[in-house]
Amino acid sequence: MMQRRGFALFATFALTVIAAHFATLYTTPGFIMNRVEARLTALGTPQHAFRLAPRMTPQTQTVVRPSPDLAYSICLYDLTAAPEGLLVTMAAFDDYASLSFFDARTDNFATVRGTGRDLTVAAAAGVGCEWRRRDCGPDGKRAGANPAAGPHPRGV
Amino acid sequence: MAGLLPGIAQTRLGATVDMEGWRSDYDVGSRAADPYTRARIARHGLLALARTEAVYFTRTKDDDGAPLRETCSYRVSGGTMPAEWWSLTLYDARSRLPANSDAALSIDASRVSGARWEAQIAPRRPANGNTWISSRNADRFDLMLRLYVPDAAVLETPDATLLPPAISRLDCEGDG
Repeated sequence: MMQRRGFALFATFALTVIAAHFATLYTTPGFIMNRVEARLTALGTPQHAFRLAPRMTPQTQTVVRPSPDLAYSICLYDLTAAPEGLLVTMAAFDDYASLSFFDARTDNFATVRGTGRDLTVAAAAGVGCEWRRRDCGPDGKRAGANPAAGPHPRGV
Repeated sequence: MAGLLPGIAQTRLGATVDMEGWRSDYDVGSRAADPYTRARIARHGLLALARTEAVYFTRTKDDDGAPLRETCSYRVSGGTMPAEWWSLTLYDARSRLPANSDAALSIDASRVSGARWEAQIAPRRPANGNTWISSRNADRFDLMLRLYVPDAAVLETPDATLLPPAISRLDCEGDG
């Protein structure tokens, strides 16, 4: 009887540890992204507008492993506050440039590479241009824009 | 923006790649990343790009297998990289740029010329005028190689495509 009770206690303990492990594992990315968002907001990063970050140095770094060789512009987005999505325009730039979208789970779900010309990207929740059907072209994309469909409404 | 910490592997195991001690996880930034990769990246390589845009290799040891540390100086050397642009950056054990004002924490493709390049890693600027990567205040550190817009072959057959930089130890404080 004592043995069975001991086993039940051990099994309960083990299940609790496993559940806590996976709960931590799954919540860590979202938790850290929330902290990053709060930090960027505190630094004056606007929502739905870009802030040119200062060059990354030991004194200015705000996230782990920034590259001191790149220029970063950062924009926070929340598609619940923009139900029709966002249009982002990349200005023409001769050298390497990219527009990268990260969701609340840290996934880089879309990246559009600069082409040296002005480029417009439509960011929206869902797939294709379901978010703004009246602007959809025959190929299911928003006319004149590259689609970036986010799995989560918020991100960077 | 960032990268990843070393994982396991020989040359390639799943999405994990090990090229002579330079380690990468090609699932970084993608939805295919497993929960462990995702949690590790969230802590050590937030805002990493997906592999078609950039791949990140990290190395923590020199060519003799000794951990990289501030009290030693090193020569890092390499050749042409199979990518549109590359950079090599030094980070401390907390994945931060080390706290110094030397403005010498990386080199990149725009600062080297010719098929071969080399730089010296040391806590003080080398007197010989070599390209310098400062390890001042880094204590234990690692190097991260970023390849932007990598050639397709880097993703498919990295061991046949990429010749990663070598890191040879020159001397250490206290050496006779």
